[in-house]
Amino acid sequence: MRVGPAPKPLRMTNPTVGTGPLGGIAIAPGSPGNGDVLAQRQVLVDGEPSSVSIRRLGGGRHVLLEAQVASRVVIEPETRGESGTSIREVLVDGFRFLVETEPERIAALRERATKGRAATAHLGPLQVKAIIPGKVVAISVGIGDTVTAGQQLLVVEAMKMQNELRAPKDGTIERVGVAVGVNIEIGDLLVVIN
Amino acid sequence: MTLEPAPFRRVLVANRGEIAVRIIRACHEMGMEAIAVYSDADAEAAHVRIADRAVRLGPPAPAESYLRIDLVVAAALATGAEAIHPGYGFLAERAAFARAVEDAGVVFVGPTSDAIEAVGDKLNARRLAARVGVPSVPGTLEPAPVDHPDRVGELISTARRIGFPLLVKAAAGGGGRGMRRVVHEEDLAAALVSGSREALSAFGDGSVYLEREILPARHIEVQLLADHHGNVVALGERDCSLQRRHQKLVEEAPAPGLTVEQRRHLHQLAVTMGSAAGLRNAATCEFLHDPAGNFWFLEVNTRLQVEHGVTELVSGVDIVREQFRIASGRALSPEVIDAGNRASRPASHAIEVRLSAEDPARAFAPTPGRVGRWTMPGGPGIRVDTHIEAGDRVPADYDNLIAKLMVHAHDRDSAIDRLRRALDEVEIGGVQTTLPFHRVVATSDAFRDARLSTGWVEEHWDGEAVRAEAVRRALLATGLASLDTGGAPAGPATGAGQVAGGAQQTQGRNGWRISARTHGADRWPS
Repeated sequence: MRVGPAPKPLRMTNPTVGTGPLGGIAIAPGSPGNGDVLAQRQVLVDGEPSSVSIRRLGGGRHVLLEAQVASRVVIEPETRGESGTSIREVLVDGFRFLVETEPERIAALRERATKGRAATAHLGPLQVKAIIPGKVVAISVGIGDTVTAGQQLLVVEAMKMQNELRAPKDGTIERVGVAVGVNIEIGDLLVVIN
Repeated sequence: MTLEPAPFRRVLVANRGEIAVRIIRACHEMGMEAIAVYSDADAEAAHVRIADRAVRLGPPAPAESYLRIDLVVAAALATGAEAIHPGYGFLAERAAFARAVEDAGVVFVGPTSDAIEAVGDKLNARRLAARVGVPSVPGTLEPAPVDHPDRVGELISTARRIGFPLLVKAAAGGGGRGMRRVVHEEDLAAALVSGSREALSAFGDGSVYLEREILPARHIEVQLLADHHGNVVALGERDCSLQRRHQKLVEEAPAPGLTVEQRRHLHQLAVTMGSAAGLRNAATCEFLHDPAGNFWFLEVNTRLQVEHGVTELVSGVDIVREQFRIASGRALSPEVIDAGNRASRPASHAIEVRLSAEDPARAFAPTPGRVGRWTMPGGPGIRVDTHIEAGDRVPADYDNLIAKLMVHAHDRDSAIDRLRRALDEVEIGGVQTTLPFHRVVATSDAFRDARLSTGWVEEHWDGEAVRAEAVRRALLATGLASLDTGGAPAGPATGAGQVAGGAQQTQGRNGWRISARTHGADRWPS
């Protein structure tokens, strides 16, 4: 089994706004909510105007009504994230997401930093970190080995399954941070590829 | 019906999770005391909470706790348990465990150690099937010589005869562990080595063999009950075709679309295998059903199955209760004989979905963690077997099944309607589960039309697309809800369900602040 990167929170810049793209959706200013209807907006979904409303049911439960289609959404109370962001757990269609809302000032800073990183990302060494806790049962590479993207690096056993970790890019193995038999936690450094 | 005395006074349940809870409940219904065992990861787990007594086994690692035969048997002797129920998984199909229990003078709730040995090894079972004329999936009957590089040529010619793609399977296997699919001849050697390695680590036995991949095929299995008086009864069959990585996701009883004659034939094949193997207690005979209508014997499971509940709902038999009765030497109850006679003409339908801590949009990768919000459905025709409540931890050390949701109705269509309704009521926070997948199954035309196959998940489940739509709605809903609660993230924490307050209404010109930029981004996969 191939496992991709661990899910990170969805990120949303301060949503207390009027117009602008929201995950491909434009929200136009509209009438403020009344009663239990929290918000009613005209939105553009794939360029088509549509009416969206959200209604509070209590206990974190909401009904999202979009183009006459209702879906149940649970929005849990927010918790404080790092550097002024707030994080809410949101349950939709059986999925759970962490929606991280960040103030605009921080979003702008982060975007600048990301742009700077993107320019140099293909050059520097890449640290491959554990995304599931488990036990290392096999290591297929050693320091100095040349690897190509998709090549197996090591095998981690978690929840009775063996998960193959593959190289995310071409490069040379600069460091192997674990040994066979070692128990690893999320975030532990496994391999460095340069 | 007359009240019969409890089969045992005290029973040790050598398992954890939902199945330990299920068995302890049966003990209590039958007037038996239940002793739980636990690892340090489960000191406050549900099965410990509801048992009459609990014995610590050791650290979280299964090899140091739930797999320690000596400790489990010692716990039974120390607490005066007269019988041990192994559940499924862990030691349930280890002949050495059954033998140790027998040797300690305690009753093992399951087949004898000899019978477990005879069919627990899939190669043994395949040879037994050949002897009694039950057709098994074409393949080899002896272990592949993994440690003999000189015999690779012989192996490859055998593989060619079976045909590619084929499966490398663990003789001691179960749940797809040690299994490898091989499409190209040149990949065979590597698959044998890695399959054997996984089998060795999972079962302590690295024997692997080759089997033809039958695809498309349906996975259909027959529930057997057998007593010590020569009665072997098929309670009915289950269709468990919806699988990922050879682990079942959805099971239903009966298997849709079979004729009465097909059912009789299938049940007879299973009874033949059960009788030939000298099985006692509960067992399951698994088959592949190909589009031509053939049933190919796959393996025998000498234990209670995860999905036994759907058969209980349709047959009206409490299988765990019968297991205890059988283990105490009683003959199968008249209800069981009666249910066996009706098994080819089932009168209702049941479906089970496995809610597991895994991300269905990320190749069903495990997602251990702490459960947050936890709401299970109720109402007519619903059964939920679980060990979880809000705030419980799902440890990374064990199987990730957290709940079995079963629905029962007079026919399959009504059962699917009920399943869809029940899934709408489910709310699980804290860990990602297979819930999105099951919601798609319950509304799928292919499932409704009973177009079932072991390749169903690959054909009908596009996890990334389903997730992307959910992401869109999550951002939209959160954005909208925040707008009118004035949920300025840097401000004081506001309950997400708060109605727009007057003060915040006046904050912006139109009741909310205007900003030049906003966006929502799904940072997965980054």
